[in-house]
Amino acid sequence: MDELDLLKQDWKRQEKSLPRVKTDEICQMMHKKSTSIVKWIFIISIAEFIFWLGLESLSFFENSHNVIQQLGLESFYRITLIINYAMIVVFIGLFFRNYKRISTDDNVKVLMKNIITTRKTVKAYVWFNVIAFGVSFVVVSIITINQVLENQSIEAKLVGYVILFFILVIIILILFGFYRLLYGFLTRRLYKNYKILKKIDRND
Amino acid sequence: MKSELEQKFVNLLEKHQNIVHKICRMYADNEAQHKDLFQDITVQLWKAYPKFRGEAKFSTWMYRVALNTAITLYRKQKRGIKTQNIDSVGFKIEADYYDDTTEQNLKLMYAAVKELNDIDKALVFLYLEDKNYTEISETLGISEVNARVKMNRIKKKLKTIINP
Repeated sequence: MDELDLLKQDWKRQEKSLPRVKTDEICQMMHKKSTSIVKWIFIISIAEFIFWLGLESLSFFENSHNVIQQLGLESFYRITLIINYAMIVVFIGLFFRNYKRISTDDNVKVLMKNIITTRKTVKAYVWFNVIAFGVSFVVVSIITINQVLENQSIEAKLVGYVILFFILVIIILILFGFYRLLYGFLTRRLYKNYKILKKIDRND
Repeated sequence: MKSELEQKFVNLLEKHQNIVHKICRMYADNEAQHKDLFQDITVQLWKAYPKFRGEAKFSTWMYRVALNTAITLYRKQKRGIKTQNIDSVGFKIEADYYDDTTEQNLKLMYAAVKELNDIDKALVFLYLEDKNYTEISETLGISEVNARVKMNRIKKKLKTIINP
């Protein structure tokens, strides 16, 4: 007899030793919270949107308006602000569309793909913000350095640029590390399984 | 007061609960995890139930949602002692039913199945549940041919475990 047939035979016999749950126990279970990763991805994503939105409206940015005026960057500021808000609307729209597509009665592969797409939308949003932040930071800093160190030597300016570069790298590394940690913990298994499924379908 | 929908769901799940328990046996490492996963699958089934239109059989629909929960949504809580002892992974072999060699082989095979990755476990599980390759491929979202190829590889692998 085939080894798996033997296993199949015993598998049916296993049913006898299965635990039984009563109807009132099921009732209690139904209304408990699940540990679903989708729920956590949703919560964290919303927190991300709120975080970046909050950052924009901080009074810090309001006060910096004077500085922007002094530096003569008003139109640059206005354009980035419009792009930023337009992108927020687009990303939030995409996020909710993808999130609504997640359904546990899809097949395993489709479900995984939809979760990954939802996650990717938020990831793109975060990177958009990081890059936008980086670009504004660099533009404002270079102009500031040039104005403050106007009469200084080239060396002094160079030191300023190097410091600026390191600050930027450190900020981006911290953000990157934070995301790897946060989502690595949540989605490692999901990505691993999705890769296996895709590999099976490539048949290698 | 329970709603009519709730009552209907509870009765259906009570009737078909073996499917969920078997998935738990496949994926949980100990009893605490078995209970956790059963709980999680129940929540997910209940959440998805309003969308169940009855076009598919309840049990077929259950396989999907329950497997999706076990493979994709569920996060294992690292509680309880992780033991790899065959008796504690949930499969109970009736020793007096088999001769010693068969019993030993079964133990080896269950242990090997437990070591498979999440996706291969799902394939073996559906196979053991007598699902045909069309159903297996539809549940996992892979092509029928590839499901068959993969299953043959797993069969071979299990064979070498028993006859090295």
